[in-house]
Amino acid sequence: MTSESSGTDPDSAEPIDSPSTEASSSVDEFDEGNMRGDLSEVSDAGLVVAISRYHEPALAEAYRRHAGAVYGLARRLLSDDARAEEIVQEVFLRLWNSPDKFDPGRGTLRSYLLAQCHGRSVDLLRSDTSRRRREENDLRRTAETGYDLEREVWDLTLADHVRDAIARLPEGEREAIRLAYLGGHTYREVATMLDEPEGTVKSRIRSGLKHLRSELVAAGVGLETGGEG
Amino acid sequence: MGEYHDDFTDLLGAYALDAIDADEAELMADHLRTCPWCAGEVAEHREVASFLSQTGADAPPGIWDRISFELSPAAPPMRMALTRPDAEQATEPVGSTQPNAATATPATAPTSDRGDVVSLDKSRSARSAGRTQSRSRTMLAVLAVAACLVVALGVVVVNQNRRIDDLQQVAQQLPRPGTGDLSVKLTSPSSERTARAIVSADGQGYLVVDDLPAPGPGDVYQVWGQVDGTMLSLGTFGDGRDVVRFQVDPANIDGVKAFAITKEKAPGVITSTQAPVVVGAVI
Repeated sequence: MTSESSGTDPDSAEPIDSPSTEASSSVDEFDEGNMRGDLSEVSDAGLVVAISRYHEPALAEAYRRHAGAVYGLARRLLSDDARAEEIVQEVFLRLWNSPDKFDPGRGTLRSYLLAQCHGRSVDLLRSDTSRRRREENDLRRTAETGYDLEREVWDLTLADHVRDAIARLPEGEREAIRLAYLGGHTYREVATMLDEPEGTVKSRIRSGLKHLRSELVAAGVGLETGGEG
Repeated sequence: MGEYHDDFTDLLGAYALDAIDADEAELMADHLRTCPWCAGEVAEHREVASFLSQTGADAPPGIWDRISFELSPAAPPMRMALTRPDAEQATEPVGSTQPNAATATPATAPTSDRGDVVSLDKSRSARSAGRTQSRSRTMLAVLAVAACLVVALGVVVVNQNRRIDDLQQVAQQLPRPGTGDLSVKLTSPSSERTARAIVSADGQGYLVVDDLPAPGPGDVYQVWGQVDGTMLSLGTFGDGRDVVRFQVDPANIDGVKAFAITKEKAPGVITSTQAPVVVGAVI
């Protein structure tokens, strides 16, 4: 069984609410009049509350806010449009089916969705088929341009303050984080690639993330989780 | 913490970036279920990592249509009335709680479904049982006094990422509590601070803080629930956040007697020695 199309179009500027859907009508104690046209003002945590009550427009709003970032990360890791789209689908369906997995006390909805995306993408990446495809893409990319064009394009899409914060990291930390996060490599693989001891790479990843957090905080970025690690 | 724990802390950054092997990931996941400090650091690293992702671009068209098509069948009508267990079932052991342990433990990572109670770290309770029993009795005594003063109210769940001044506006955006919901008002000793909690029939709970000041650098607020005589940590919050979401076993809702909030050093404690900032009991 599947639900009827909700009429909710998250790709448009304004969500189109259609209370006649099965999912929406089931939440009969929900005050649809107050939700209609006002979802853009609801916080991410509020959306997840609504999603836990099977409110499809809330999922659509969460999708509108975060699907772009989720797709971008999956695409960056997998170099495969179709696989990246599957990841987006999987991440948001998981949010719909298990909203309780999101703990607002542990970070933002975006960081949660991106962590889900990254984990699933890395799982695919490390499968034999995906690895061969990635290796082929890496070789072809390097041969054609002599440098990592995709990496350069990626960097350009980051916010200025994030790019500046990354630039201020020691090179060892920056490279370890980039290879691990954006390359999908394990710390052991990163150690081999950088010709460094595994313990050094582990430490650099951890210290690099802490330094990056400090830089972002100094740049005025509001980070949800509290305390210093 | 000794060398054993250092083995885990060294991997926290790599784990947060999914940069460890599957067997190490499994061990780390087990560790994080019992170590709020490491779990908190992983959450911080993941939040930082999220800034390494692109912003502003949209996903390709068509994905949403596929998602919408696959959404689960229409949900049953919302069950706002408590499902009371039979008298015989009420005598069953309380989920994974230990009524005689008299030990509060930190909330662990979200469980696999929406009905599991927050689990206890039984090994930690065994080591600190004597010391924690005294403190837990103190808190229980405070809660018992508070039980005479609390009046059940309706609940609102506010925006967690932004403070919303008009709580009634937010209340209109969410399900209205019905009869049978477990709802509690928490107050400070001087009644100048308040909070509200509600637990619905499926065990989903929300604690909404009306006007607590920021806990301060290095501090967090920690939420406690008294379930069948045992103090359970339900989570921590701070930095202006004013909503805590938690889950209790629906079968144990009748055992939920009170809630309290204390201020602790980040990322929280196993057992609190602090007087509650606000406290309230079910009547």
